[in-house]
Amino acid sequence: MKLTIIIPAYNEGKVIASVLKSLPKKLKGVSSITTVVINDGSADNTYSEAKKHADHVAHHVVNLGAGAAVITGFQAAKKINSDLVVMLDADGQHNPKNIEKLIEPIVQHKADIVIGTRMLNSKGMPKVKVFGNWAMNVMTLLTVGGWSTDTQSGMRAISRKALDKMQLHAVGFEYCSEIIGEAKRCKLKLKEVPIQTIYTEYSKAKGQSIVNAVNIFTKLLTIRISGKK
Amino acid sequence: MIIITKIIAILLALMVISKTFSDYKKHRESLTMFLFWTLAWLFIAYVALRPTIFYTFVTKMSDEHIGSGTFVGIAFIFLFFITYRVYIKANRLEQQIRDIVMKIGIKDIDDKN
Repeated sequence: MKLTIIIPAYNEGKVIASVLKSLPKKLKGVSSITTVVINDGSADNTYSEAKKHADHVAHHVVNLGAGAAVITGFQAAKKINSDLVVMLDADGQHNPKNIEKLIEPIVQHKADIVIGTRMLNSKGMPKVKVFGNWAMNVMTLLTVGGWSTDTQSGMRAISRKALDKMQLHAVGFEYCSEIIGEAKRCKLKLKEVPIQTIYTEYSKAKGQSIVNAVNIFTKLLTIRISGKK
Repeated sequence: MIIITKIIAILLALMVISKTFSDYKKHRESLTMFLFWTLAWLFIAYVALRPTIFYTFVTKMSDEHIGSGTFVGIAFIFLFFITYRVYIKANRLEQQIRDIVMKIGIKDIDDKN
């Protein structure tokens, strides 16, 4: 299986090199690993840093949003004929050691989408974020009809079958919930595996704000009502 | 209250006219667009100062009398229609820009392995 690790990045010049260096070089059940950074119109040195350490850099000349960066990452993965995609946040909050257990259900053909959930062991997560994540889970259930214990997790594994079937439109952070909705619509097998999160002052400051939840909810409702599929 | 509304309308007209003139001088806007917006906003300022011009116009054209409520209603319909058109156009342009940026983003990516 050919694995592509996609990392959407916006103004992550300080940490992107260390995130890329920490990625595994070999994994069980995987024949090759390719890294793709999607530089989403960063104003800092993210692009030049990513160029030095990633196999490929997809460059958005203007900032489009996290969802758009993920869609570009998926398109890049298809272009390089990947069988499997892993998504990671560029702020260093995800432990690359979790990638092996994240891809395992797909390698063993037991799942099409695997979500790395932080909520089964939310120790260390700020209380406000725990509340915000559960609120987003409920919002996701109400708008797209799918359930996960961590709908906003940026660490996911997606099979090629899922990549080909899903039709994504969300350009902002609402993409997290849209993928769960698409999994339901396309009858894809969704699994969760618990992951550890590395909370640094940097990654805490980079996360989504609670205020953004209202924005995400509105956009999810729009997607639901407009039926963009 | 009516005087304040009139003053605001005139100030807005002056702002738009000065902006369109500035854009025209910097070659950001064509002469046609500059003349269009100047005349349009001069007209808006005139209507704000003398709103009765509409009643006179409608009476002359159709021998009908319209009240201020009807006038406001018609104005709302036109304004919302224009807003809707601008929204659709902006949305379409945003989508097109997004598609172009995403396509350019992956154009140099190929299968090395």
